[in-house]
Amino acid sequence: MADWIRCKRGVALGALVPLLALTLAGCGITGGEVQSASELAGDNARAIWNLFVPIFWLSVVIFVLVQGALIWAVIKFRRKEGDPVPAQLHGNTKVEVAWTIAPAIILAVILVPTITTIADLASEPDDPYTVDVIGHQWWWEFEYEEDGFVTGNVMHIPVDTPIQVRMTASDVIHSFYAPQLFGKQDVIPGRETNIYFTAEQTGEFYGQCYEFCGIQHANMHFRIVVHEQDEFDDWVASQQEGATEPEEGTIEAQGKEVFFQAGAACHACHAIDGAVAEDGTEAAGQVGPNLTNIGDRPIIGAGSLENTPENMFDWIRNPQESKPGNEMPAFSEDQISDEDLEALVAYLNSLR
Amino acid sequence: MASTDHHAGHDEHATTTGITHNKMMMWSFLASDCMFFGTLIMMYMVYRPDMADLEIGPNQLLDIPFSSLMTFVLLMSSLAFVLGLSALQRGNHAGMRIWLSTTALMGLLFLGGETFEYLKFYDEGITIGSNIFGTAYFVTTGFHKVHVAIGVIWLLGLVLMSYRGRLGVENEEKVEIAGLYWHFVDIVWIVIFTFVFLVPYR
Amino acid sequence: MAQAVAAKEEQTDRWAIIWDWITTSDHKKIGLLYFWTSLTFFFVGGFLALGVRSQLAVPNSTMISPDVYNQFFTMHALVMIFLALMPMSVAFFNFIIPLQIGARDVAFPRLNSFSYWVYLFGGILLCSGFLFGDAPDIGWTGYASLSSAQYTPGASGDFYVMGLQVLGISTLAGGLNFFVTIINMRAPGMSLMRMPIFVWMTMITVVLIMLAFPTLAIALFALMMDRNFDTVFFSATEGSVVMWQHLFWIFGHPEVYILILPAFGIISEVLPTFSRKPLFGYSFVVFSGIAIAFLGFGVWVHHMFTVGVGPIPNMVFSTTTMLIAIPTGVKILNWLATLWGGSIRLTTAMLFAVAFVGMFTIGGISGVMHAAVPIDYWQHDTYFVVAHLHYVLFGGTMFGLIAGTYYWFPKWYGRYMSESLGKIHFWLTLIGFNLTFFPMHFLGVDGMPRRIYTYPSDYGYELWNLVATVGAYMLGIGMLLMVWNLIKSVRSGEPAPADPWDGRTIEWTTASPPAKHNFDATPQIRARDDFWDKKYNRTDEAEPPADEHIHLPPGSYVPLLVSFGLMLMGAGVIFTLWISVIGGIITAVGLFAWAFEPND
Repeated sequence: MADWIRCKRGVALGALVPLLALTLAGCGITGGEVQSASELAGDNARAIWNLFVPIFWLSVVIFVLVQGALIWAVIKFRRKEGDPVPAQLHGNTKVEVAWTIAPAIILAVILVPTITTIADLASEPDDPYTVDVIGHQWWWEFEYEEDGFVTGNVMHIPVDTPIQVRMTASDVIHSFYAPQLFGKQDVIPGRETNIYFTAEQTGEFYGQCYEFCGIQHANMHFRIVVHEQDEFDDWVASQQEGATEPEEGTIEAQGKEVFFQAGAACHACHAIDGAVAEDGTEAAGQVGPNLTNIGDRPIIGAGSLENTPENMFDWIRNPQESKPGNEMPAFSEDQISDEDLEALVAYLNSLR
Repeated sequence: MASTDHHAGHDEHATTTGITHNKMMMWSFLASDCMFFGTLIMMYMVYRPDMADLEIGPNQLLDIPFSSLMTFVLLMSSLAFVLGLSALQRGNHAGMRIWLSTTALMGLLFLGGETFEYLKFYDEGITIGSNIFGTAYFVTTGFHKVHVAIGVIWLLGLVLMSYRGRLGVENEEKVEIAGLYWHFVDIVWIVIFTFVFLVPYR
Repeated sequence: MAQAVAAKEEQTDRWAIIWDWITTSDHKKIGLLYFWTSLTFFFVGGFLALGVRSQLAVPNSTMISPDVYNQFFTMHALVMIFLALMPMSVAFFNFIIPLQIGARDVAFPRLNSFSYWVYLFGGILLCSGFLFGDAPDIGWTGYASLSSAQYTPGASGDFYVMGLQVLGISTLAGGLNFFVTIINMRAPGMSLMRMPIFVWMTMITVVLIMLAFPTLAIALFALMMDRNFDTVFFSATEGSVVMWQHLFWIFGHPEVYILILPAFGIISEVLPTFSRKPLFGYSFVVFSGIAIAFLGFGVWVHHMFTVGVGPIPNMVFSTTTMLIAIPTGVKILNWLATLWGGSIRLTTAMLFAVAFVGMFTIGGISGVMHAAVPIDYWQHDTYFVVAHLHYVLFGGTMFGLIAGTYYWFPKWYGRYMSESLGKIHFWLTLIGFNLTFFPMHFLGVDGMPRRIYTYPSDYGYELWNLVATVGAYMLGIGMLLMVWNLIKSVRSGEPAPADPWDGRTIEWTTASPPAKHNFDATPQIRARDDFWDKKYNRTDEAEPPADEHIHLPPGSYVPLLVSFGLMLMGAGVIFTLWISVIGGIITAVGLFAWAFEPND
């Protein structure tokens, strides 16, 4: 039994070494990534971060105090051979009351800014620009009701303008969160939830679904592109115009035919505003994302792939390869030949 | 039953609180059962506001006079039970059998009346899946009916035991415990009756 | 010839032993059954966790398909919570509580055996989804409407519903049993405020079980009705999808305390013993435990801050959540004060108990962070939460249970566990644990969502995921070492006396392992920490005479029969209702037999 007592002095210190090393390394390396909550570009996210920072430092102080006391106690009061039985101290009411009140005060201090921030984030700004978000398994639909068009997976908004994101879901619960811009809210079927925020800088921001929503929860990304106001107006105008009509005889025109032809029948699921087949069929499918201006989007399959012609080719050939379980069927060479598919990809790429 | 006689093995006779294990168990179970019913009733209350606007809903279906009668029957069964217990405590076995049988019979009458209501609802086209009222009503009251049915079986079992001479005055606690259960089921019905039937739907 | 006879005798002997374990109503044997079963399930859950970590080690990994991954992470949580941690706590309730209160057994020995068998069968039912390639894959929270028959068709959702429903019966039966046991079977002189702190925490835990599990049962029942019988409780159009979350978390948050309070109790025994000091502020620790349990029912919305219940409810539940940090903080400070000025012996049990305080503090601090609602808008459903909950459930509960294992093992088997192996186990576990879960905080800051089967390579998640995976394997090796230590020590550990650690509570007065009847004479309690008081303060102690009327209940196979019937009833809902009918008949016959079986 004596070898327990002889166990190396100070080993308890080892408990904190990996933690400390990790913390230091973490502080150096986290942040600055595309989906990091510490890179701020929206007032909503900034309010959250401003609340977090003091709480974080307070936590660090408490962490150091508690762990320090723990390790110090274990080292200082280690039993030595021949130690007497220590005083049988049962407690001390004054001390107990003191350390019941102390955390209560600390928490009250935290609570005040918490409550004001909750109220701030929930208050609707005057005259916001509204974008409706509809969560689907597993992609995002963005509806610009005021301007009368629909797009998918990439949301465009103007900078320095209060935005209202008004959300619901068509199937299961999702959660909408772009860490650099705003805090998340769940997207719930049969309910409406809202996020209010103002983007503070232009650029492309990453986000994805944060509530487990089925087999492809991992590939339910989206992007938010923040424009200067005039740029944004141009984008809205181009959306309202609808799809670019390809010139006769080009590969894009051929691709458009493929889009409607029996083997592909893309229009059964996808809409392209303004695209009409020769027989008068409109591309107005509602199952998958709206493809007007698909050529403009940086991602395919809600972030499963980058939007390059090669990826688009592979995606249409077999969407189940990069996003197994999603709703889009694969298209064999019998349904769309390689040549037709290339034309189709060219057509889609031309939609800007 | 000599409760001062400390047999170490027969701990049931010498508990810390003086209440037997069986009775303590029944009280604890009832505390737990409160939460079962509490959850159901809470759900019902949350769904309640949506029920007023239903095409066929509580405002069209619930028959308060009839269900009040059924409630009365169930409450009176508790009285019958108390009379049965007191008969046993006085050593009147025949009286106990009659009163416990009456209790069970009233329980059965209640179940019959409730089933009659179910069938009436069914005729009106309300099933467990037709709308939120059907779902919440049938599941909440159905859960209570299962409790009543178990109570009836229990009571009849006690009567049977008594006929076989296995329920003497020294076993009166067995009846008492059944009584705790039966009274609880009654009281819960008052809560359900109030929130499901009486409070107006708007 | 003679050999054959001997072999045959050994054979029958073995069957007799197995029959004895199957029909046992001895709380000590049931406790060990619970322990070894839950440890087995712990390794099932651990295997699933390593699957998850292996998949996430590198970006865009295709090692595990998304379908299987979702089954893995869902089952990892279900197995760890319902089949490993809770039952392992119940193992300690079983073995230790009657010994600590000076009783011969629990109040209802056959009900106790029933609880165990329902747990085993329920666990098998829940896990058998893997045999059909259709294990639950909806997250352990089973949110509507993903858990509906429309979005999760097939058996996987039914395995979830019925598995948990059957397990709930086991837990509830055990909870009621231990409540009556603690209330009613304390040795003479053991008033409430003289109960060992582990008994206190157990009592609070079982009250939570009694009050929280009914809500889960009703929620699961409603979900079963929705899935199989077309009701509309959780439908988006007629019912409410959010209702499920309310019900689940009204159960789910007390469940967190059901998981952690037994560990609080265990380390409140271990820290004083190895500091040779009484627990500092006994009554404050008790009342803070009660406060935690009480407040635990009033904080469930903090799991739902992002649902959009409105700013006012969010403020209220943010406040109650912060309130609950106060009694928790009081406990941590009392443990520190217990160590302070003590005479500390760093056995493996003590190392784990001390590490518990440290690790649980980290989990507590991160918990206060997402109690602040706006911060939760960020951290909710990111890896930050994964880090938090593992610091509480592994760094907290599991460390506590391991400490308890090393501490009470001599009482179970009359042998010490190897301390040298134990030390290696401790350091591997502590370092592996922190390597696995601390980096998840950073992943949370960088916005990595939980429950994703893969992540792109340009998000900066690679490094910390790889570190976490390495840590997870280290942790796994550490835990395997513990099993090795357990098996080795059962067979050939150093023999331990009745009181191997200079203990303070009365379980150390009886032999190691205890006789079947626990105590020769019913202990008479004269103080809190009665045994210590007796050893160091009392000089004149007339030994009470040995009790002659020792009576123990006989074994019974009926609980096994009834629990088997219950499993079939559950299985019938998953496969075909005929199985339920057969199960119902078996259960009814079993209950009938139970009612008329003589029990003394």
